[in-house]
Amino acid sequence: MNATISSGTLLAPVPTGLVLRSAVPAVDRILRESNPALAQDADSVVVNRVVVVNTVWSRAFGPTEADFF
Amino acid sequence: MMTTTLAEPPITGFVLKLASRCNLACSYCYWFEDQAVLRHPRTLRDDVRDALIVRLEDYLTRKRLTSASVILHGGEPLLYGKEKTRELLGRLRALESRTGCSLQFSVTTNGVLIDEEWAAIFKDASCFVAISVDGPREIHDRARVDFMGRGSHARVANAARLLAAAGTPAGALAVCDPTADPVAVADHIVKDLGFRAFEVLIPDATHDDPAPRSLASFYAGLFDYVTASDVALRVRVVDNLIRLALGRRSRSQDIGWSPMTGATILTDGSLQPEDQLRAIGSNDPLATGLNVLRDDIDALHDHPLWREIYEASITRPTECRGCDYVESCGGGALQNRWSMPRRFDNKNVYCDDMKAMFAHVGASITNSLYLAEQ
Repeated sequence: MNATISSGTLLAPVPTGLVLRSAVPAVDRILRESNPALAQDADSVVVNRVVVVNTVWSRAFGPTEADFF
Repeated sequence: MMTTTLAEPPITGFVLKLASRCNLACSYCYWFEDQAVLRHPRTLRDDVRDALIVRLEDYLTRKRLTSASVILHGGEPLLYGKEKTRELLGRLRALESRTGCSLQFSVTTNGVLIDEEWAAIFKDASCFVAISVDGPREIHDRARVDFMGRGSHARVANAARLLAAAGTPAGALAVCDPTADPVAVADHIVKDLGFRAFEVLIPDATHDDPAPRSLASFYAGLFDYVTASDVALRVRVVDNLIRLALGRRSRSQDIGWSPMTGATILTDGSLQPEDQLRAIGSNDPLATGLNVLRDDIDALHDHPLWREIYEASITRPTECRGCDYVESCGGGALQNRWSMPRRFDNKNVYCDDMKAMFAHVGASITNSLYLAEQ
């Protein structure tokens, strides 16, 4: 399953296992640096013009604050 | 300021000042802005080196660190000399087996003294060489001149060739000239000098300085260059802009929000917070009175100056409350937040530029994203 994300989209729900990818290699490399797959179903993923994905998705990127410290 | 509550991370970046003097007289150098640095020994004292290695081993062991970086710095660190550098790197590398901590070495040099032997020393030590080069000769030589006023570009370009020939891991470290064409700068670094990794530093500026030139256009152009490149490039500021726009942490203090985890050891053994903060003042503004000859590295964590800077590093400025960009920008580099009256509780001196940069990066990234199965 591939789904395009556009600015301002609210995706709901997003099932476990999906990964966020980018068509821009420099962005995709960073997405791949840590396993970005959602570890659990998310109710929603918000994409906006500043922070591309909300904290639900960000937690899946790691390191989380707990990992960091 | 908006304060967060986080457990303090250990220090994982150690800047070692191998020399407090330089063989160039760059016009924008933050180090020699403060003449107090001339009070320090010209190069790292032997007794300081010995004490530092003991303190580092103790700190890495007690903190149970698995990874840390050691950055050889100056002044011009190659003034320390080849034999002493080789010995120092060997003794530092030996800490890995005794502490279980992997150490990443790098050296920040103006490149002027690099020859085949230096290239071999750094290759043998797996020490990444970051050469200061601001772009093509006409840009580089505006600021990076010797004491006779002669440009250093030709010698730096030669150093790049020597490092490439030796297979020494290397990259370029530029300071942004906002008036320069970012494509010309990046093209020179990538195509003429052959580097695939580089950084373009945001110029030092505080609220106590004259208003700096706008740099959003430069960095937007740099982002576009990197993301459109046919060859894989690692440009730290661009990577961090992407990370921040994706809701992740920056990996440097230069941009975004990141807790301070860096310490500096001067040639006389003085222990200080992150070196780049020196731009906030004069007369040794980062002095703590601590010294590796007497004190554990741990002592930094309890020093009032460290406490102030660390708390600022995890605290967003009051003015940033409610800003659409605060989750990405976080207020930015601490030196860019500084003013004498309000200390670090100011928005970034480049605030408008940061907004423009994150808007540009966010829009570019968003349009490229898609969801896929693993």
